[in-house]
Amino acid sequence: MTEAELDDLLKIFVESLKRNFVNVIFSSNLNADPDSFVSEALSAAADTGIIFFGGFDERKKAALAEHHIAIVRRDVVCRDTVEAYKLAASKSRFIFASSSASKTADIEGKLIWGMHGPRKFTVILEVESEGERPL
Amino acid sequence: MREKDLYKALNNESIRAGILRKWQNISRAVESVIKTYPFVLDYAKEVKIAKMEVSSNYEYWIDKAMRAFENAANRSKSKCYVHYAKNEKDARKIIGEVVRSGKVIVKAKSMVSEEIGLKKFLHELGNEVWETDLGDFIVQLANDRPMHLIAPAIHYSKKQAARILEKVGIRGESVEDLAEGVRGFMREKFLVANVGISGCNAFSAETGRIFLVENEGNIRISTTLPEKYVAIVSIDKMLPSDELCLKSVLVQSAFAGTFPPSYININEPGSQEIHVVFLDNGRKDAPEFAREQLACIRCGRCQTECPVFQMLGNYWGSIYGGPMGLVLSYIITRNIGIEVFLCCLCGKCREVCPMEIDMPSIIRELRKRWFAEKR
Ligand code: SF4
Ligand code: SF4
Repeated sequence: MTEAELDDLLKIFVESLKRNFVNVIFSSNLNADPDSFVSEALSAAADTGIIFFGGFDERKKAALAEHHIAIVRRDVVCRDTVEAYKLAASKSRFIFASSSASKTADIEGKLIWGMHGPRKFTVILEVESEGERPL
Repeated sequence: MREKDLYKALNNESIRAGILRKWQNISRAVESVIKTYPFVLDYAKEVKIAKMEVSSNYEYWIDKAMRAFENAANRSKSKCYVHYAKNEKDARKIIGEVVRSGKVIVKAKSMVSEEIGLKKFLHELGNEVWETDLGDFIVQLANDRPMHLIAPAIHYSKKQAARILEKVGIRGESVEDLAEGVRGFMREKFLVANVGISGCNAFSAETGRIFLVENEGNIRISTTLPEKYVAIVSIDKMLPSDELCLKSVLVQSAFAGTFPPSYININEPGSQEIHVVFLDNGRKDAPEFAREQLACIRCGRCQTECPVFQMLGNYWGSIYGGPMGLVLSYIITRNIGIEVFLCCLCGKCREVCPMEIDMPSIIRELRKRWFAEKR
C-alpha cells in the first residue's frame, strides 16, 4: 500500500469510527498511555470501524473495563472486516472485536450506553506527525 | 399453541404497541445499514449458499466441526469437550452432568436454551440461574417468554419494566437508572458465577471457533469470566469457515438493525473448561420442503415485519415465534398445529429475509399436510 492509499484508508476508518460514536484521539506518540484499560489492536477494518484484539486475559479486561482504550497503529488498518479478521487471526489464537462502548435498546427501544461492558470506548490512532488529522 | 394464549395476546395492548414501535425503528435502521454497508447483501448470498450446502450433508459437517473443536482443544492442552445431543432431553442430561448443582450460572441470550427448556431444568437441579441480557432478565423476572428473537422484552413499557425490576430491588424512574441498576446487580453475579452458558451464532467447522455477536457486553463477560463455559450449538449454526462465520454474524446484526455490532466474540479452547454441545433436535432429518429454514441466521426481521406476529407476538409460532418459528417448530417437533392457518400468505417474511427463505411456500405446504393428516 502506498502512503497516499494508507491516508485514504485512515480517513475512511475515522469516518466509520465517528459513525459508531467512538472518541478518536490522534497521537504520534503512542507510548503516552492514558490511565485506563489500554490495549493495542491487532487489526482494524476501515469500512466498519470494527477493531480486533487478541489474548484471553485481554478479553477479560476489555469485558470488565469502565473505559476501553484501543491503540490503533496505522499499519494495521485494513480495507474490510474479513481482511482485518485474517490479519488478527494470523497474530493471535484468541481474538475478539469491539466497535463501540457497550449499549442496549431493550427498554422501549431507547439507546443506553454502558450496559454491561465498557461505558466508553476510545481509539487512539497513530498518525505520522503531530497535528495530522486524517479527516 | 392454545387458543386461550392467542386471546391473551390479542387483548394485550402492549405486545402490539411494542412490536409496532420496534417495527418502525428496525425498518428504517435496516434500510440505512444496507445503504451504508451494501456489501452485507453479498455476504448474505454467500452465507445462504454455504448453509444450504451444510444442511444437505449434516453428517459430514458435524463430524468435521466436532473434530475441528477437538483438535483445537488438543493443541491448547485444555479441558475442552465436545458432546452430541440428538434431542432436547439428551442436551439437558449432558448439560446437567457438566453443571451439576449448587452453582451460580450466568446465561447469555440464547433461544436454543429456551428450545431445550434449560433454565427450569438447571433450577430444579438446585442451581441459581441468571439471564444476563437486559431484555431476557426482565422476561425472566416476569416469568414470561422472550417475545422476539433479538428484543425479548419488546412488549414491556418502561413503567412495566420498572415494576418487574423492583422484584430484585432495582429501582429507577428513567431507562438510564434501570439499566444502571441492572448493571450493578449483574456485576455481582458475574463475579461469583461458576458457569457461563451461551448459544452460538455461527460455528466454524474449519477451526472449531464459536462466533457470538452482541451489543451489551454480557455475552463477552458470561463466556469469559467463569471457569466453566458451556456453548449450545444447534447444528444449523455450522459453517465451513471462519470467514463465513464472520460474514454470517455481520449479516445477522445488519438485519437486526444494529450495525456494526458493538462486540464480536470468537470463543475457542484455551484458558477455560469449555463444553460444546451440538444439538440436532430434528434438524438433521428435516423434510426437504422445509430444509431452507435451516439457513436462518436469527435476525428476527421476518417477525417484526409479519402482520400476524405484530398482533400476536411470540404467542404465535411456538418457542422461536412468528414466521421462522412456525417452520422451525415443525422441523423440531414434526407437529403441524392449526396456527399455520393464521398466516395470511402476504409474503412479507420472504421479502425481508436476508436469506430469502420462502416461508410462505413452506407454510402453504404445512397446510396441505395438515389437511392430509386430518383426513
Ligand atoms: S406470509 Fe404469513 S408468516 Fe409471512 S409475513 Fe405474511 S402472514 Fe406472516
Ligand atoms: S427467517 Fe430470515 S428474516 Fe427470519 S429470522 Fe431467519 S434469517 Fe431473519
